[in-house]
Amino acid sequence: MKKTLMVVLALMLVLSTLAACSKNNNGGNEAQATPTATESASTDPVAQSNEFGWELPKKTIEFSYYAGQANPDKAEKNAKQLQQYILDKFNVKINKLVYDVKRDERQNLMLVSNDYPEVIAGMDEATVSKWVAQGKAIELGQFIDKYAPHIKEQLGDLYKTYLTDGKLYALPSYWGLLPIPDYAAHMRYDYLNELGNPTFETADQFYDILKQMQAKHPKNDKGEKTYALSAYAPVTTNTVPTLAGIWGLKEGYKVTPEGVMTHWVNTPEGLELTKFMNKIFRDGLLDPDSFINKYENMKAKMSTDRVMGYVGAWWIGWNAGHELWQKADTKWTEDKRFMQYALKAPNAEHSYMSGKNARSGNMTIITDKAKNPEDIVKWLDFSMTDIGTRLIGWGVPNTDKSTWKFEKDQPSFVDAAKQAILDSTFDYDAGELIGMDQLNLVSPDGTMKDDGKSTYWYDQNFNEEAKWKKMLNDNLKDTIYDNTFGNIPILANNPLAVTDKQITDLLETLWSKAVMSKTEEESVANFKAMQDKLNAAGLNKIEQFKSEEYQRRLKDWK
Amino acid sequence: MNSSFQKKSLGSKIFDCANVGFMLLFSVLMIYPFLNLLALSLNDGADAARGGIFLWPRMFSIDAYSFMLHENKLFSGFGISILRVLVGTTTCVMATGLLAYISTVRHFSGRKLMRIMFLMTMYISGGLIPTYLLIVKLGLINSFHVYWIPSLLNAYYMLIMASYMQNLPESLFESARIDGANELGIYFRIVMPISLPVFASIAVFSSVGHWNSWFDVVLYNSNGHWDTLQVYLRKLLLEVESFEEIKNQQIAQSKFRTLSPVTLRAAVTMVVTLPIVFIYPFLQKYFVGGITLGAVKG
Amino acid sequence: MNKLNQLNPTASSQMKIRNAMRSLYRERQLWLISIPMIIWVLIFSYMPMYGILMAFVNYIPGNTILQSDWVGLTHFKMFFDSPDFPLVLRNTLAISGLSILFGFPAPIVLAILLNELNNKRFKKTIQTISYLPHFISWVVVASILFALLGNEGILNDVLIRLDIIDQPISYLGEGKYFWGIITSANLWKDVGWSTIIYLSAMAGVDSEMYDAGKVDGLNRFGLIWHITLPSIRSTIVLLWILGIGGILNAGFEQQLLIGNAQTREYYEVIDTYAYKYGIELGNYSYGAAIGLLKAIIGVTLVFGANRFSKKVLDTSII
Repeated sequence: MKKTLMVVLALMLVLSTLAACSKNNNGGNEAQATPTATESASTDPVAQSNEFGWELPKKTIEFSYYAGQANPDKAEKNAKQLQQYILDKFNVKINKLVYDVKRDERQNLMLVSNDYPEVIAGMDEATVSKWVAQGKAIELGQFIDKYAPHIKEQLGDLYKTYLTDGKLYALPSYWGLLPIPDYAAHMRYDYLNELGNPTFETADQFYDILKQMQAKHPKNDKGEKTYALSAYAPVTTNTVPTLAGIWGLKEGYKVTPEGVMTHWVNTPEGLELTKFMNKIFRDGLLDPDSFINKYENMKAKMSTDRVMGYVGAWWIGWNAGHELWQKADTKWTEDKRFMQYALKAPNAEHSYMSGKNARSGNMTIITDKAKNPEDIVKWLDFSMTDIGTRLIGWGVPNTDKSTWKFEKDQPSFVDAAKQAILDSTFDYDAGELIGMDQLNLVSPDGTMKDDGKSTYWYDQNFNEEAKWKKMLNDNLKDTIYDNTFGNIPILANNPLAVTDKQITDLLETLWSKAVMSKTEEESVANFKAMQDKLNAAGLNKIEQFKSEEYQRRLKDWK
Repeated sequence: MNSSFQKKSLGSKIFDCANVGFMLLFSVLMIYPFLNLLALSLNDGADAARGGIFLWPRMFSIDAYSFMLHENKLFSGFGISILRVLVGTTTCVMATGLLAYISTVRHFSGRKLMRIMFLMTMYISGGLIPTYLLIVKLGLINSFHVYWIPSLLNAYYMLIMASYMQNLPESLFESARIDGANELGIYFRIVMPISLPVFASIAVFSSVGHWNSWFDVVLYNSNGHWDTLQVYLRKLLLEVESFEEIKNQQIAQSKFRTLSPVTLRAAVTMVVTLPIVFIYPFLQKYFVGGITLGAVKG
Repeated sequence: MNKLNQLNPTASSQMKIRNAMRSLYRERQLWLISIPMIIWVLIFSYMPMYGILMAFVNYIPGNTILQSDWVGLTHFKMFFDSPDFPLVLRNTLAISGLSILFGFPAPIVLAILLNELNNKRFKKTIQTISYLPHFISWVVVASILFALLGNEGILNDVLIRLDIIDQPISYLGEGKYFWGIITSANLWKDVGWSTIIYLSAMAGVDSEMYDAGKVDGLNRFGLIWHITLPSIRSTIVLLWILGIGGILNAGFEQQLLIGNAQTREYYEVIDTYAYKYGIELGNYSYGAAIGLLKAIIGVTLVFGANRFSKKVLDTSII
């Protein structure tokens, strides 16, 4: 025993020494890495502009930014080429930091340990105000006029919406209006063709057709029962806002021109859509697991021909539909897919299915760790320009793997990459490797100002030529609306945050009861009971807060 | 605990049969999910999304495994995991065993104090932020030492070990003390050998704990130099941060496109679990099957 | 003794000090071992405990606790006044109570049954298999449960085929089944794992004792009752006391993954509530207040259970 003990003790000693040594080694490596950076700085002393119109700094501008929760290894690999390109062409060194920890948690630990990088991206506005209150976010307004000529010009009317008491602390990323739809009512395109392509406009007609499809295909080829409609939890977030749009509500709220907002639960339209869902349930044609399904469960059902349609985000139909069939089903034909449609209730003025928030909620701040914030602002300014947005969105140009070219001050698409998008054979992993959408600090994802049509998302640039995307856009173009004013999230620093959370929790539970009622009377009674409970829990206060904020925005932002 | 010198009664035989039957049924229940994961991990990713795989893969593929293997971080992570388990478990078991021993020495006046001091830590903690700040101040951040120093002594293990040691005959230690042995000597020469079963079972707990833990790694060693196997694999599986929060459907779509398939999740479970299952029998022999301690206890 | 003290206080206190010094000297080895351990526990466990104070202020990360606004018992009041409080308390106690009722004896029974297996290799294999579920994450368990208990799960399929029911039952969607499901899942996942402690205690029994028992004419059951069980008695008591102290730990991940909106009234327990309404809303102080409440109740229960078992069973852990 004594011998074993000695061996174990010796082993421990050796191991911990090893551990300590290798730690030092790593420290050494880091120390070595820094001088090379300064070296490259000193080799580039000439002040001139590059082809992007960027005035080359004499000294390398270097900063790190925290980008949220992700796989650090992958983020490093994906950002590498673009980082090198930006260093070579712009003399700007950007280090992207991501950690495998929840964003909020990491940000809080940064605050408590006073250890954070020069720039933080992807904050919500509540977090921004927390950092501002502690004096850790630098006021950017002071630099805008002097160093950033493009920022005000690009943001236009939006600029003032980011000011608090006339001061600017944060700039948005992924902002701007992209007039392509997000949400729709979906049904199986091949089955619709089987029925002779009948037209439909209202939710009831839509359901009627789903019902006919289901009657024609009551079981899939494995003999499992099929459903007209499916959903996944939480249904009140994933499906209801779109459904309510059919009845003329905006993201679940009825908004008057004066800016009074009413939650769908307190509207007659809310009762209508509940009855609509309840009817499907009573017919036995609503997936009974709708409120239990996780996304992967719904995906399994959709991909095995058990679901005729759903209401929600368009890409779900792609991800859980033909993108999968394409790979796994040898007999797949291109008509077998979910197609997007606009619906409008008969008494609704207009159908509002995709609300767009031009302001975006992802904010970027420069912290007090930045020694030369004006240099960073210069880079932000560039990456907000149209050409800067292309670079950040589409990745490194002019290489054999690039998706775009930048020659003689003119950007153009690489034909092969464009064709790959049209054929749905584009390799997104390779796209990430050349830096597509990897270093977005303040770039917009709306339409670009210079040509009025290009957009940050490479694959959304050819929608007119892509058959299915064009159908999607044509079907839905009237249902897209600007909801920048109505997008009023209740953030963590709001005293109503707890109430809001309670209501979100209750809403899903109570609404599932109303939908899954055995008779229509019972459903209506459950709906009324839900109304009472939610209002007692403070839904009215939420409505009041939102209305006041909406009216303030109408006054201040117009 | 049965020797065959005595003829078994009928009732005893029936009991044996029923017991074996129960155990077989029980083990089917316990092993099924594992076999299901194995089948899933050997299936094609896109196909598996359609569900319906139980005990056998439908479209055989080893993509999930080769995806994991294509980076050598898997092997360095494996090495660091093993190092952590070895160092963490030996230090924890020895130190906690010693703590358990002194808390059972009957004439030690600090016995109660030690027990209460440690027992309280099982229920009261300062929370994440103060602990994080402490680790930062102690300079344990971005170092291997954060894997074993903060988990050196464990109150729960102490109580279990002490409950075993309490049953040991006091006379053993008294005679050793009379012979002039010091307390450390008694611990190493007498307590440890006769408490092997409990040391082995705590070693299992501790090593599994060290093997499985990832939160302290991502929190304290975020620079990636000391990534363990668990952390490397977890990063591969990283799910999109709260789907509901992503209002921009363009971003949501691009995140979903890179979402790891269920097959990868299954393969990760296999790779993480198998090594620990293989070393288990080496520790298990000390507490299953029984060893004759008569000789040691004398 | 009292009288003596009153008569000569200085002498008695001197004697006390001398006694203490003497015992300190006699136990010097033990104290030398203890001191580093005490320092360790003070640093790693007691020093961070100032975090408890967060419960009484409005803490915002980045400020120190002292800089934050003192709010006294506001957070505690908020918890008690919350409309969810009765529900959360009921669920916590029900789920923990069930898990003590079933989860506590199950590993003891399993350990005894394993111990009674004659074939060593078989015994080892079964024991290894029994601890495998411990390694399966709750995410995977939840998806297996969905396949088993969903509206179209295997169970409904079998019951419909056997004509026992004609409509599928939504086991995961109806609150009344939730406690049963979560208790079974917990049991399944940890029964083999918990058996290890008992097996190690049983392994400490000298096999000669069994031989002696047989000579005394004890049958199979008698051997278990008189030799095996007493050998794990102190372990059983220990785990029982700790189990009582942990009654407010009714689980976390499993609730969030197996529960859903339809069963929320049955799954929300203290830890999930504290997470959702504390950490997720950035309200650290609220989370800390609930945590402190749990700690106080836990410590009280542990000491209570310890005193009880000292009186009734003559065994204690302190």
